[in-house]
Amino acid sequence: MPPELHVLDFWVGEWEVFLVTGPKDGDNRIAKLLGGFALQESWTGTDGHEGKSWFYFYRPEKRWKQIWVTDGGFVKEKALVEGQAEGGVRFRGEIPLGDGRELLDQTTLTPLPDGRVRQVIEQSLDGGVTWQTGYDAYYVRRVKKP
Amino acid sequence: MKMPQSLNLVGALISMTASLCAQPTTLPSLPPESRQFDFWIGEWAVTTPDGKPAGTNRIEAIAGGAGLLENWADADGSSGKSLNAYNAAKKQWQQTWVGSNGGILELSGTLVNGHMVLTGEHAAGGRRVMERITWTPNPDGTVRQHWEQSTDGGNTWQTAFDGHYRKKK
Repeated sequence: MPPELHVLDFWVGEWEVFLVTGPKDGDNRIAKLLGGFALQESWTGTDGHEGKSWFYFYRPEKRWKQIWVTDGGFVKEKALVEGQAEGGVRFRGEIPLGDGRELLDQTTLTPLPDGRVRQVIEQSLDGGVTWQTGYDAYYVRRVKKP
Repeated sequence: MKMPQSLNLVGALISMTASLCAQPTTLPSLPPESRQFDFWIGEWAVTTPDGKPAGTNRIEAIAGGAGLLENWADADGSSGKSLNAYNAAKKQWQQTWVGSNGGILELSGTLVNGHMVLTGEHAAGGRRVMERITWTPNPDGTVRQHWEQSTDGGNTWQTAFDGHYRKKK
């Protein structure tokens, strides 16, 4: 398996997700599909909502892409932005607002030294000049009970 | 946190993981188009036009019915999966397929006269290959999946796969 297929390995697993402000927000399971050419994310929020996404390495464009489907019928697409500091990965996409404008939407996943992963989701309405943090959470690996 | 109104509106749509405020998340109901591919949901035995086993396929509804997950097991031992969903912003269906050989297809399209027609293209050996897959629900509950390819810009099409789906008992 070429090294570029391993960029998301740190995120594979079963996670409990807590907002940085404290409360639990949901559970997420990240699993490799078909030998690792794609990863499947299965999100269940504490509010009962579900989402599924795929991360996949798209050879024609030589980059990782993501497609995200929620139970509200909303589909988001992002692609990997290379070269993040601190070993993190960042996916960014554009969301048409329907009035001609586009919202930039980016997710940054950063593995922390204590084994947690931090997920920050930010949006920009000015082409990436300024960003608003919309989501900030810690992923805590679910401990398998013996 | 105080967000601009436009960000709040979009944020409510974006995802539950991106819920921006502490208020309960209220997601919009599914667009009616999200139901258009439901005819493909099920556990299927798939045969070639001459009746030989081609494989089995399990199509599951995911994310509260907003998408479909395909789980293909080919009679030759290979396998593949696809994620399908209606993208309301782009007014199209989208499919991402990944095969056990790592091959990935990105397809998009719409329901046309009752047929789900998804197309895509990619480069292979320096040539452009166009893909067109048509799913047709038949009155008897079976489904036909006809996959065609063109290497001359869509002038002529060759059948790559012609699968006849019958629900497993």
